[in-house]
Amino acid sequence: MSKVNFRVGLIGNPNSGKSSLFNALTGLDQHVGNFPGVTVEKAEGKIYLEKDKIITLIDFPGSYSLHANTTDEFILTEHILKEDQVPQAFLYILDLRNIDQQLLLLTQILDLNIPTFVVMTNTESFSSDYISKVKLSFQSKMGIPFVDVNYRTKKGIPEIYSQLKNILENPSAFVSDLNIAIIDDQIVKDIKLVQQKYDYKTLYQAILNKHYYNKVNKSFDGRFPIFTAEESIRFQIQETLNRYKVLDQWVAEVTNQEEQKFGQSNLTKNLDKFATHPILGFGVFFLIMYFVFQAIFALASFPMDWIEGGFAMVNTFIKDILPQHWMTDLLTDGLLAGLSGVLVFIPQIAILFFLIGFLEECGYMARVVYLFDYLLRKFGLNGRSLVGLISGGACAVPAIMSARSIPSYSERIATMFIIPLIPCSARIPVYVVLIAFLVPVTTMYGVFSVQVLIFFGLYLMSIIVALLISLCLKQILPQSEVSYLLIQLPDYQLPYFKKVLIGSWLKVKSFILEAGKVIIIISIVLWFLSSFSFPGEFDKLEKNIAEQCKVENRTAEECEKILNGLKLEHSFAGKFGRLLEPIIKPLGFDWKIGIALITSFAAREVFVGTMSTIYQIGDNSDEKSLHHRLEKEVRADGSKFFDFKTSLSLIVFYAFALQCMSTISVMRRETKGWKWPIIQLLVMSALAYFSSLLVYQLL
Amino acid sequence: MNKANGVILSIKNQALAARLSAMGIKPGQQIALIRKLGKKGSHLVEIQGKYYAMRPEEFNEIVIL
Repeated sequence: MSKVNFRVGLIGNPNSGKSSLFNALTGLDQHVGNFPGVTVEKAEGKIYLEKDKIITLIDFPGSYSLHANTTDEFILTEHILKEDQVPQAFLYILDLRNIDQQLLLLTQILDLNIPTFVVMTNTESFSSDYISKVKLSFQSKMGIPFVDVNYRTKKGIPEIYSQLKNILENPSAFVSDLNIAIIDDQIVKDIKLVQQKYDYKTLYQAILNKHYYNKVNKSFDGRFPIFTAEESIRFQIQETLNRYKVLDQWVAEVTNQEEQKFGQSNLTKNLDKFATHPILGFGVFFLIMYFVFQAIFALASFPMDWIEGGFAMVNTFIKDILPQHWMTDLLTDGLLAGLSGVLVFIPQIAILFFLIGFLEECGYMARVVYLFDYLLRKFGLNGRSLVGLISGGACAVPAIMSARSIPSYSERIATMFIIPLIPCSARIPVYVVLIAFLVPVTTMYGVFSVQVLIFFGLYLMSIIVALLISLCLKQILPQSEVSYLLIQLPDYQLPYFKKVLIGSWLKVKSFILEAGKVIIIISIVLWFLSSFSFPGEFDKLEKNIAEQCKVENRTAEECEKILNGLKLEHSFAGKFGRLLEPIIKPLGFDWKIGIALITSFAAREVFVGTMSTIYQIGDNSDEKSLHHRLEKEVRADGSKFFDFKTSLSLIVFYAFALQCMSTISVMRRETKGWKWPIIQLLVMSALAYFSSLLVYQLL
Repeated sequence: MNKANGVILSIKNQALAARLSAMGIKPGQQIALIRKLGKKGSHLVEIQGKYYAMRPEEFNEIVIL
């Protein structure tokens, strides 16, 4: 028997517990891709019902209505109106706490005759009597199955699987001919003609096409007159209110005063007294952010030591058991050195992803949007921009994608433009290595770690510069009128740890795979470039040094060290670095840093790996960490190379330079062209160069 | 100046009315301004027991009785 692959869309309102169900059903068997046409992250997961029956579950962005307001919400409408993209069935998530506002989208979906069943979430605070009353009532009214689920007790999960099996075997049993008051009779007559002529399955499908045909099909073929903007808004309101007339009555039938728990919970109301307070609210925000950074440093230090120690051990072990050969060098000094330089930062990146996921899941991010909207608008941004700016602290790529929830074009462009200036997780390794040269590990007043404070200061500097750039963009970009804040503040809730963990693991995994690939290739290329030169050049050096050592009566060890240094300088990599040196010398950098700048152009996290590779070759001591090796680096006059101003100049360079191919590519896709990514690259490169120049020359 | 508490009578701006109705906010519902971050800052508004954040210019489009 051939395999059956059935595509089921997971839909519901924002904050209805959709992604939690997605994770509960698919576990780790999911991947993140892009919706065709638009570039919005979509998660797809597989459910294996039987060995020949597979369901692909697609997690759609949360939506209140098929009449969408943002690019994000429009994805669902677009998929429904494109026959080749519409899922074969829908699984509708209904948050029982908000049943009074979550049925609208469901009735729209049912009017399209797409097989659907409903999963009720957040049932914990309701009595079982109430749950079954709601279930029975709506099942009979809507003619489709309702399942109630509780993630903590796993109640309902087996029933979802069996309903998925049923929907696959008998989809027609999941179709309802619910047709609750749509719009004016007069208009309906016209639309019925369109429906018949173009063979639309339902009247509502024809109505949606009258609204959005030209938006979905980029080239409008003029097949029928679509609604004007004014008509579209008028009929949207009419349709929504007509649906609610029926729905409000249905909801009133099942709820009575005691059971009505629709309002915000008392916990939320109490917490919001602080979190949304005009003064305390900002205090709470900065305190939370400080703890996030503290956690990144404090919690990550142990696993980082283990990883670093582990790599050093493996490195020594390989060198001991394998014969001295260039292949061994490639493995240890090239590959392992480069990889360990990056893998050691995985704990910090994982913690950052986890904490941002946690803040999002517990409902705090919506408060942050509320707090910062007014301030950010002055800079041509939106309160929603802050979600992107904070996520940018983990990685600019998903952060730029998150800007799609911003309704106004100019605010969206400005947000995406400045996100790469927010220090992402790839900058952490660079900062950590270099901050250690700025200040020693000490605490202020016994509590605040000075290094953490510097770290915090770097973030602040980046944010200020980002806002200033945004302010410039505000003057240039045409300001559209569709900017709005309107956002619902969900109840605070303890996140499902499993969900946040899976989310961070998937992101870390993709970071390791993506960055790992680049780093392995660059490490090998770099090892080659720094180990070889034009034929005969190294032989000449060896001969010269041997003679010199004989004359000066040096030990073999000393000679080896001098030779290794000279070999690196005369290698291909050294030649590249030297070529670049005149340009970067005013910034305080030498040819070695020049090599690292070249290699980290594609991905800035490669910097540490490159430095590890370069300095490992030039050093035969047994020191483990890069920090120690860099500390020993001296200039021609014997002074420390990585002194305060060089380190700061380098940090500033990395803070502003756009060294990330993925960011450039996602910018191109999100803005549908090369214009913005090129402007971004030029502006950030100039900013990096001149800021470093200023730092080095003035200090 | 808009009243801070009462019942939603109507929503002046049609595009905003469409957005609000999709979120389940419509005439006849109880509305109360809980807090604001200054005169021009975000407003925290309770509608039918639920919290929403909106700008003053959005809040002022809602006619409250």
